[in-house]
Amino acid sequence: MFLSSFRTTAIAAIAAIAVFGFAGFAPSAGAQSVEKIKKAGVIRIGVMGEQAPWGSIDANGNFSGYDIDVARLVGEELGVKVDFVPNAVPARIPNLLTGKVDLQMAVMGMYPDRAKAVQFSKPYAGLKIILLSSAKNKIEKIEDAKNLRIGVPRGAAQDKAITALLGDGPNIRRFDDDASNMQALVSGQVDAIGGNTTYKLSLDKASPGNDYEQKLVFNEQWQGICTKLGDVELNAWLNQFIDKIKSDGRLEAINKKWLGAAMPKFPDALEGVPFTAK
Amino acid sequence: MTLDFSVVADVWRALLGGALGTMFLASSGMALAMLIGVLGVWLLRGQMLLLSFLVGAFVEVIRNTPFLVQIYFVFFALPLVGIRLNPTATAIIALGLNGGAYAIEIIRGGVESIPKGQTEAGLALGLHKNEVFRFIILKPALRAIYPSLSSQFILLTLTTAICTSISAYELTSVGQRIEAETFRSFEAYFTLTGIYLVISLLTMWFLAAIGRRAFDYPQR
Repeated sequence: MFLSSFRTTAIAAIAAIAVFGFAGFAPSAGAQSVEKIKKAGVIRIGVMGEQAPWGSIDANGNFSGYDIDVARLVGEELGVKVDFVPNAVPARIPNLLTGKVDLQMAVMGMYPDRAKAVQFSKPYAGLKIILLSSAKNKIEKIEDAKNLRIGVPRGAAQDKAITALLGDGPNIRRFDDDASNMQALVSGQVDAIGGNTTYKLSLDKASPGNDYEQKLVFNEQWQGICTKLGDVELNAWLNQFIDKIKSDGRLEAINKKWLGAAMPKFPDALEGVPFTAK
Repeated sequence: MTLDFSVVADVWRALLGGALGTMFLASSGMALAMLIGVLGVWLLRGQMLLLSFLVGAFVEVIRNTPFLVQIYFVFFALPLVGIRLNPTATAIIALGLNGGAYAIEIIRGGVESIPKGQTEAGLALGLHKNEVFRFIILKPALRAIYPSLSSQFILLTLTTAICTSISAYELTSVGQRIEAETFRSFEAYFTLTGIYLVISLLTMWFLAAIGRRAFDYPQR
């Protein structure tokens, strides 16, 4: 009726060798350079696929948003076609490290722990990481939310902020992406969610007439364009690109278009996050 | 790229917890699936046409839609009609319904393989209709289809990984957190692969042991 136990064991052993044997062949995606990208005629940029107004897919099936517009400018300046690669929040860094994308422009907050794994450029966008909940819930400090079920996108800045403040526990519910996180709030599966200042736009679309409001601000976040550590040339090119679009008004226009606000005053340095590759 | 498995070793407690979570979801899901499977086949063969039609419809709907959509439906859509379940309960119900639909098809196949004469012999010996179903039809049918039922249940065990999407606590969610915190995808997912392999083999062995005990009466 069943495989004999000897055969089962033998098959298991072979399977284990097959699986762990691959560990020795971890792909070592090589460094990316401006020249290589120009030669390929295409740059692969990782973006968010469902996080308006940063990156989402509109009714016509086209990518649109703040990150998308800046990414299109990158393509324009380099004179290459842009290939948009949508990624889930937890897949952003792995996609970059394994060479699935050349750059990551997916609302990547600039934090020291991430700066150990990837290279950030100068900031080109910013937002606030906040806690959102119904007006009925009284939350003035994080302790007030201790007994509430809080949704976060797994591995996102708000996951880190809330886990650090409240400690890890079953009340912190981690979802795959921002869309499921918001859906969890709308359907009442959680009482509050960690999000950012642009969540409200999407929540109003998903649930018109809701009473969700900003309760707490965890931190102000700056976003940079990520490359792999050691992509010195590409990083230098991106920094001069960001300076250029900041000074010629193109970034200002993108801020007005998507966030309805003037371009923020970007910081010149961030603790633990170097802007230039070594 | 150098590999550093110490990041995984540091969190073995969390991994063990995740593995237990996965085994809990899988075994609860299997128990529910088995219940749904047997009950479903009993209803299918019953006299109530409406019920057997509903069972048939249930099997077709579940077997022809993706599990991810089913679990999202239970988690995100049912609250709109007032049924709100926590992630663990959602996962068990979705796994049970999914596994149950496949179990119905498998068990039905076994039941149909029992020759009609066997049923008639049971009735001729004065057994009640339900006793005939239980002892004369179901038991030999289960013995015949037990291997395919077991592999379906192994598949169910591996399907638990999808439950991470609704924030249920299981092994994949732990692995994804390790990855999110350390950015060590290879180490995290290679370790997960190994643990899943062990869980599957344990499940296989456990189901085989149950099979030997439950069906050890002589063939003839």
